[in-house]
Amino acid sequence: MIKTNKKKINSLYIHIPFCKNICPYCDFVKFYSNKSWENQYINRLIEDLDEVKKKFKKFKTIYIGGGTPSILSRENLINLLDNLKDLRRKKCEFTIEANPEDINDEFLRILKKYKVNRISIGIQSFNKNILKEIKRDYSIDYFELINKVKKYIKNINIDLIYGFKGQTLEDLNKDLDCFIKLNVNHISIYSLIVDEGSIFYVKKYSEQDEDSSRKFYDFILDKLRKNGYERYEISNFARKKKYQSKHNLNYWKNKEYVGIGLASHGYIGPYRYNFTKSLSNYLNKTNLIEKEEVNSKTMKEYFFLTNLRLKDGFKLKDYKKTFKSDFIDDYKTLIDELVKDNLAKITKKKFYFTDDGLIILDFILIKIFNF
Amino acid sequence: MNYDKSLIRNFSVIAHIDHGKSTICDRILELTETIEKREMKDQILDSMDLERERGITIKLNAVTIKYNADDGKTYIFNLIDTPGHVDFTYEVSRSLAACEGALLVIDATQGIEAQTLANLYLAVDNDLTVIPVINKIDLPSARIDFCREELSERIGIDGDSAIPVSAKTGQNIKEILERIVSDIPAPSGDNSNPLKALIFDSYYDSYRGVVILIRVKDGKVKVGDKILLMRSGASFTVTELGIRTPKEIPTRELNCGEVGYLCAQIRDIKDVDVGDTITIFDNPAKEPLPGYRKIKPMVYSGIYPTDSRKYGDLKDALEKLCLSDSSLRYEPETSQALGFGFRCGFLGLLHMDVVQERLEREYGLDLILTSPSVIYRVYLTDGSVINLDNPSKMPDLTLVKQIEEPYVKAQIMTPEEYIGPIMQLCQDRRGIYVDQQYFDATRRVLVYKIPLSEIIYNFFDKLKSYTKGYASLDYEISDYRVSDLAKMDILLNGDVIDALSSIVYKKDAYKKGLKLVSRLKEVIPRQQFEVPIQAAINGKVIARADVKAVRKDVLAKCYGGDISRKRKLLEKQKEGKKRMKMVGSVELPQEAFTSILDIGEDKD
Repeated sequence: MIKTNKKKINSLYIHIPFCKNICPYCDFVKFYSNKSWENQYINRLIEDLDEVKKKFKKFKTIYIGGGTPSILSRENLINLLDNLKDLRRKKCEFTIEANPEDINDEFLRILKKYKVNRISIGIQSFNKNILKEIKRDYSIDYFELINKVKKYIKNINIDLIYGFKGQTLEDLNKDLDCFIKLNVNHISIYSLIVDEGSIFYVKKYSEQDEDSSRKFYDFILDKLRKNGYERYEISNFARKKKYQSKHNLNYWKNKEYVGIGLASHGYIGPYRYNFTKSLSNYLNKTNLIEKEEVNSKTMKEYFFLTNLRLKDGFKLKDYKKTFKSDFIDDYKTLIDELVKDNLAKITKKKFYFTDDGLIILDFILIKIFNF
Repeated sequence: MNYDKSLIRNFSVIAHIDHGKSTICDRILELTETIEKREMKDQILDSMDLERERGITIKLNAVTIKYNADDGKTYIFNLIDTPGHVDFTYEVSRSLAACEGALLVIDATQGIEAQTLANLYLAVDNDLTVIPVINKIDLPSARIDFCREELSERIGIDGDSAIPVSAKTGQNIKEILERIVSDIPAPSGDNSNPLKALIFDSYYDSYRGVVILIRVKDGKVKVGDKILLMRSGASFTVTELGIRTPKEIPTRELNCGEVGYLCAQIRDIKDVDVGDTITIFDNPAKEPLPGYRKIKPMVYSGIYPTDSRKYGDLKDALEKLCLSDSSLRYEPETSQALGFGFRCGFLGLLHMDVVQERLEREYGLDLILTSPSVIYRVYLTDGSVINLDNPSKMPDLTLVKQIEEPYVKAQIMTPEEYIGPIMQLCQDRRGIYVDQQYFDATRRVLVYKIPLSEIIYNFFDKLKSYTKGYASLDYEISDYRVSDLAKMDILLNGDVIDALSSIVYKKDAYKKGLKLVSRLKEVIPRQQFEVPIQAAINGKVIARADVKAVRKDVLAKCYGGDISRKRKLLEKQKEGKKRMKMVGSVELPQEAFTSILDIGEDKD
């Protein structure tokens, strides 16, 4: 085989836009699942994957997200996974998102066979009333389910959401207890956002007020820490460093990634791009891609808005390498101010936000951008 | 075309805002083929974007029209468009002084409004021939007979002579033109007399200097003439004359009765006073034309650049803006909170709004405007008097003997059923009842004397909302009266912010203070640290509210697709932040400075 000048990029994202139910908080591009669309879509994805194979080296991380990848038919799932075989590096973190009600032995067996080694399960809440409100199955025994998953895949993430209308701190505490009992290594816990494009938005569902949201967040941080989970990103906690999501860390370190599929995003320097949100356009390859060229100014903004989400912030030498100047020289007075107010810390090696800083990250980012 | 004074008709159009004046002008321009259809934009005489967008006429504008009448002769019409808002009454009187006749436009569905009436009286004062026009007859709710009756009974104009038209469909527009020919007299005066030309507007052109719009009342003027501005005493040589159709067409001379523009290499707009009379230097007229009352700003506000480094840009912009807006006044001032800026005088709040928008749009500036204030007369114990246009400059109370504030005579025309709420509103605003007249079977005119400061704080909006939009308002300054007033300071983080000070009626002070601090709390975004807002009179705190600290401000989810979206979102917020003013350690949005205007809004 001839070694070509294929580009080396760490991560590959594949989007599956189909769902059985539309969750009222979700603003992603999604469609009610439909056999014929699904078949066409997977075939179309595979065409794009062939292109990816020609242009890029194998990936360190692959992530199949959605939508709901777990509702793909057995044939389509196998077809897709089979086509990803040649895109995995040896030690590849290979994640798939799944809905609890789709998880069964057969599904897990297929994943295992195709070396999917991480699974992200959208549980959202263990509270029956909340599950009803967000139109999810509330008859599942999660303890049993997770034990079943563990037989096939060790690396499990659970998604939870907080900040529903009427939810009390006590409700939240119970949800966290349920999660802790499951004994998995990773959790993503998000405050409910009512985004344009979601059913909640149309229904004018109101988000939790800022002060309670902060109270809930502090509670979560404290409780998860006490139970051995370390927050490494605003909404992500892992028991050990090795359980942190390498795929997502790649985003947060502002590194390149390839995105494939309807409405997926990618970053192949110097462009950030996204695929069309229209299924027919995607299938017919019309108006397929929009892209934005990252320039030196926006590069800085991307660098800060991603890296500073991480508990460890960024390495000063990475800043220097990227921007050819010294971070401390560039932002001296602002750094002093942030450090004085205990919002950030700076060491010889890195710059990062404290707990107090992280929780008002966007507020501080504006200051940095306007500096 | 040969000059024949008997074929000239000079007229303007007066109307209440929204009654269709600009559309009628459009139709006239179309019908006379002054402007070809393909060049036609809606409201062609409203040349500013702002005018078209808001559907209001701000600047007056003049255009010369050729009309082939039914009698076989070709007439020259000079149409001078006028603004319809109460703020701009002054400009109306300028254009009326240049005409022999006026079209009075009435909305067939609304009837006569207070503003129409006020402008009509101005026209009658100027001895103009008035041709009433009832517009919007195409609407099902049109009440033509009612309008005719109103004209006869309320104003004393023959209602039967009114022309019913629809500017929208073009119906009967031609009759307007014929009536202009038959009813409006040709100009008087004579070419052989010494020149008297009235300056009714001027603007600046970077190539030709000041361009003056004139109406020749007597005599004539030629290119090359040495002219004298009779009141200012300045003299120049005429370099260019012409008419506007509305394209400028140069001519050799402007004769008695004609309307046109004049250039004379005038570099400084200040040399040209609108209302002044131009005559020939070597053969001057005995005395100038009567002119009209000098413009006096009613409302003052500080204008500051959000970014202090833009002070120079603001200064340039104001200088340029004044060239096309002769009613704007400004002088430099400084504020501890806002730095260097200008105290500006406006005809009213709409005028202030328009100036702000023009500065921001046409000159790309981000501005902070402080709360508008009227001019207070402050009598000091040492016998001296100060005209105070900036509340923060109020002298120490121990030095003040008494304070007077300007009152207006307000005429409110309203359907009977709203009399109660309006009287309540006037009383709440410290109004003094003067008179009440029946206007017609269903409408009355209420006359009140009300402090001008109460009028500028939201009075008009309230009036409109109390009366479902049916009441109309006209007012003029009447006199100064002693009032029990005090300066209310606003403190942020314990520091007095001079730009937020206002003069309040003492009895209302507690209520106003409470409302103001809670309004400020609403408009000031959360800050890094909690910020107390206090209202104080004479150093005594009367109200307090706290702006909370930011507690949580972070996007929960940020994965592949969210990253670009997030950056764009932050970019937008960043631009928003740039429009805020750092005052001490607190970031204030523009709304904070004018919140005193909004506090009348809340229901008590």
